[in-house]
Amino acid sequence: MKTENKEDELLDDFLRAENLRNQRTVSANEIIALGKGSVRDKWSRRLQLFGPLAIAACVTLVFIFDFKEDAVQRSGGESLEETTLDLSEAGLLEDMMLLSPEINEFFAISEDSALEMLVMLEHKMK
Amino acid sequence: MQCANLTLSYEAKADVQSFPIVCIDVKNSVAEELLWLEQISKGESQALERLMEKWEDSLYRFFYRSLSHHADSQDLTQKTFLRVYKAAASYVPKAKFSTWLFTIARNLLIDEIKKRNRFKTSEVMEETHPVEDFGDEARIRDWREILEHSIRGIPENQRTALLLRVQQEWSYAEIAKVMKANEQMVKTWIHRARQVLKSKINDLIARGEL
Repeated sequence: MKTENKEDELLDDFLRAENLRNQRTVSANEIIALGKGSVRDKWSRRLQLFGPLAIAACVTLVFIFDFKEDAVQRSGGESLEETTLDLSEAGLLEDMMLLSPEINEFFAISEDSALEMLVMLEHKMK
Repeated sequence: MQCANLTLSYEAKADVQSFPIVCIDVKNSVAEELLWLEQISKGESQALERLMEKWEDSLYRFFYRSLSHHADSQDLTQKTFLRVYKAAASYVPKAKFSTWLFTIARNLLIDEIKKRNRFKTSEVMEETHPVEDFGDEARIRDWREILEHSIRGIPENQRTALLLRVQQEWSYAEIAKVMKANEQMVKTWIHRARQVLKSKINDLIARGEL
């Protein structure tokens, strides 16, 4: 590069700093070792950071899946053929089905009507 | 023709007479560094050694003129090679190797300047080069120190543009590529940096120190 005058020449000489040399403190082998080490460190840092997160995500997924399955079972998602009730449960259900209309009717009638019914029943019992 | 295309694409500075010679040099240099990078990506330390031998002084001078700190300049030079090693496998020769190298160097330099600004230690930590490196005359050391101080006062973009222009003898287009700016901006930055430093030199001459 051509310099215009003395100041430019001085400045360019100063900037080029050709008298300066790098006094190397590390060899190429050491840089390669550093590079490999930092790559390993990077992966181990990532593992440390994302490992627990991944485990937590897996546990959550398992829990959600299990919960969903359970909810499906409870909401009658499974077929009727698969439903098995033991005898006591079947009897209880039958009783409830028989009782529920009576209960409903009982609660559906007014208090006056209920009183009249009670009087009639008492009268009959006498 | 292939040679001419290669030279044009890398904007090599050459006059018409020396054109074929420069062209061959650029081609060889590019091929050489590509080969080294391929070898470095395979973990061959000799290739990295050769690359370091070729570029370490240039990088060191660039860092030293920016920071005026010997140990930091050494450290950044080393970090640049470390990044080269790590990125060697993924290097795509879109531009000259030196453009890529100094892009890495500049990024590291900017990080270092930010770090210095955060800890506000620039004045305390500054280190001057040993006297014997600049010659025995104390006054020579003084004017160099004054210029070192002045160059640190220039904004990073102006300083980097000026250093790449003078130290590496790059074209404005190449500097613009590294600095992600347009050529006109680069010219302006260099002009401003020169003005500041030249006025400092004029002051030194007027005071009889130069």
